Amino acid sequence: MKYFRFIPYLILFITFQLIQLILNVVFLPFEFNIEIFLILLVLFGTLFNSEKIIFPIFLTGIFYDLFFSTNFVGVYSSLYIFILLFVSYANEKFSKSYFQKVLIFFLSYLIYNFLNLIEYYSSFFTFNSIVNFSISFLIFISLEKIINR
Amino acid sequence: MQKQNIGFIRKYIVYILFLFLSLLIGVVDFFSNSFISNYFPDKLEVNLNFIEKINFSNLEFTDSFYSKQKIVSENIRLKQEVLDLRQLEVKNQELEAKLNSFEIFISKTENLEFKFLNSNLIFINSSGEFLISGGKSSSLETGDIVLNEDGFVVGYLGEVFNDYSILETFSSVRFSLQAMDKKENIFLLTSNGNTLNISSLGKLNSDEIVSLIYTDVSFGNIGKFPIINLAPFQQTVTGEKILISIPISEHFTSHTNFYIPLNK
Repeated sequence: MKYFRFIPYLILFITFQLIQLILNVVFLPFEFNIEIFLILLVLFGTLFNSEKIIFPIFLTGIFYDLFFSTNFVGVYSSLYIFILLFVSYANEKFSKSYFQKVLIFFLSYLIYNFLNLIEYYSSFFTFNSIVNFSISFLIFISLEKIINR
Repeated sequence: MQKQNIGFIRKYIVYILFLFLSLLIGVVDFFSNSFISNYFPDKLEVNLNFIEKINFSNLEFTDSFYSKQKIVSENIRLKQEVLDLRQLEVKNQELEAKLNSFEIFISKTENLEFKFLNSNLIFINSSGEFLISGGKSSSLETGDIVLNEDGFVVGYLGEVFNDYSILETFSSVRFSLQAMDKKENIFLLTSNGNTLNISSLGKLNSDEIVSLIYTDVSFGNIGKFPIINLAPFQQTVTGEKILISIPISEHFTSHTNFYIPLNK
């Protein structure tokens, strides 16, 4: 039984991944988006900082690469693990001021959108990206406060 | 303190090991010409029809002897009937919309000898690629062209799964398509995400301004499907080549209808 403890996490991550895909379509006419999977990753990296979630995150990335992207398998799982690694390290090493939270979330946002950043570098930093980042960050901060209460 | 440190180090070792494992899989996939990427989607059948409609019509209350129970069961039956009728109405509206879309498409396209598969947007992934309905189960293949309601090419299928496919549109940096015009000049269409760049391949057969360009022989139907009308755009002639840059403005919604020619 011990070896199957990762399954609820896996279901949670894949569900959020699918919700993210649906949200991308829902918000298409408004030209902005909410990165809920990124929010979940940063929340897990910040609050539930544990190596137990690494295997489900790895599998979620592989699942996403296999079925929802044209990239090579392992690209998104690397990005997700790198975000977790970065967030958990930054939270352990640095103080938790509001500015640092913004910075950590911003860098995570850049890592999450790394592929878009290298492909569309000239048009990545637009007003829409700022709106996307701000909305996602506000949701992250609100959720963090609710969970910490 | 030392125990805490060991836990700290162990956690990061696990993170880094999995990071390397992911990168290793990526490298293997890269050097094996996407063997892993294609292996599982080919073997597994992932159906996206996960929104199953629950059917309550099998519920029967034959064992009820009391009138109250009969009323309750009758009430449930009627409620179910209302639900069924609502579902039928929604389905009817969907079919009506599809019919209208087909009528518009038929009125604008000249290729009525083809069979077309109607497709819709399902998801958009993190890279901004469109996942549309229709896949191997509908005899679609990688590289099949995708048309809009006006009969113009909007892209081609980058990857095909069992019942859905990934559409490469003009806004994809990987987009690359060969085209030709009526005077048999050949063009290469590439994109940087914001601009569609069209350059002629080889010497132009005529000095006239290039207007409509079509799909070429690579799709098995030479000059059948129009891609874009180049006449309104500035055409720069350098030597014997022509270069045209067009800003990309795609407006897709969840209700956008796509058409994929089936008989190649």
